[in-house]
Amino acid sequence: MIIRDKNIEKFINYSGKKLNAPQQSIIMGVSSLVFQPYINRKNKQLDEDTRDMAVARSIGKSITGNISDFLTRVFSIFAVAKLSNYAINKVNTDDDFVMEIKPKSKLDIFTPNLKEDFVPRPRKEFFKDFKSYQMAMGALVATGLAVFVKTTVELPATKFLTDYFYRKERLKKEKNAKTDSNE
Amino acid sequence: MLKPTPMNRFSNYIFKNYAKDSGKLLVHVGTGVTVIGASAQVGMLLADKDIQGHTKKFLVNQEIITSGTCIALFYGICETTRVAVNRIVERGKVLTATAASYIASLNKENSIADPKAWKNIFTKEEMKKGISYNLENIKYTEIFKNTKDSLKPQTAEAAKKALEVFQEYKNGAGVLSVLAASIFAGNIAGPVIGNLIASLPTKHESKNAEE
Repeated sequence: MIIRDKNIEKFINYSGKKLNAPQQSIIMGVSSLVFQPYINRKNKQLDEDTRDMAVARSIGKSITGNISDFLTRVFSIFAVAKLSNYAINKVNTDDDFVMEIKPKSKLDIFTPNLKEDFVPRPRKEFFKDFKSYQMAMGALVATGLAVFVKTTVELPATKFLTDYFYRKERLKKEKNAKTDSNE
Repeated sequence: MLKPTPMNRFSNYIFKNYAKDSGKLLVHVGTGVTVIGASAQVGMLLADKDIQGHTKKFLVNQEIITSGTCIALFYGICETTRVAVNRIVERGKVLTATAASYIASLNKENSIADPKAWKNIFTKEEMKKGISYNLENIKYTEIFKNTKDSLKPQTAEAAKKALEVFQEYKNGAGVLSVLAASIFAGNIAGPVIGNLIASLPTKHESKNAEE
């Protein structure tokens, strides 16, 4: 099958270039807010109180979990980019080969200084690949950092939001019950 | 040459495995975060003194089973989808018109590069290795061997460009399929199946209470 629609083609190529780990958090967060509370609300096997708590928790968890993932990933990618400065041999055009890459300073712990795997590469390809590498390394560093962020920031925030949405859910039900009894 | 440090080895490993394959990165990072998040959530529930008895038991059970199911489903569905889409794309079952045209243009003796003509570029045996492999190793393909010597440099150059266009499409298709699979696995299949399994102890308890 050949995709001839230019818009679909642009969308596919755009996704490959622009969507990475931080955007994954946003997409997962929005979709989990749409689906998870609905699924928990429809879970008739639970008593009403437990169901309300499960709904409230799914909302709280979707919001805090994905926002903290997003921020951790953006921060980590930024940090990796700042700590992976490099020096290369002089190249003038996109087709010139990058033959050597070295960390600029001792702080650049994420700059690889081995020749194999990275060089020689044409300058254009080198820049593109190195940017992808920084994104990938950032996303992996973020996964490690998540252990700390989740226990110190995300859990208290999830608990706060869960309590808030649970109270809201109960209030809504009480209001509905009152309206029904008045009628 | 400088002696590679553990950090260098790690950087090289990340570069080789993830820099060119965003789909693979999303599957592995997504699974990692789900595992960490699930462990933290169970810890929070256990430490919460405000939730008591039956509700706490249910929520802890729900979290462990839902998360376990979610992690298994997430990795299973996303990785299967990624590998399947990768195979479909590499075998040329679905191609964009631009990628197909660039591949078709490898035949320099054919002035009109109709996208459909890409099918005549590689042999059946060559296609088993995938489009990327053949474009990277164009010099060993039949089309290159059968090209006039004067046109060979142009064919090699065209293969480079075709590979760039094809990789761009392949990466996009991989990312989109992994995202769609992760939404389905993480936010629909995981919670539905997790709720069903987590409800079993509650059902069992209420049955015992009735007796």
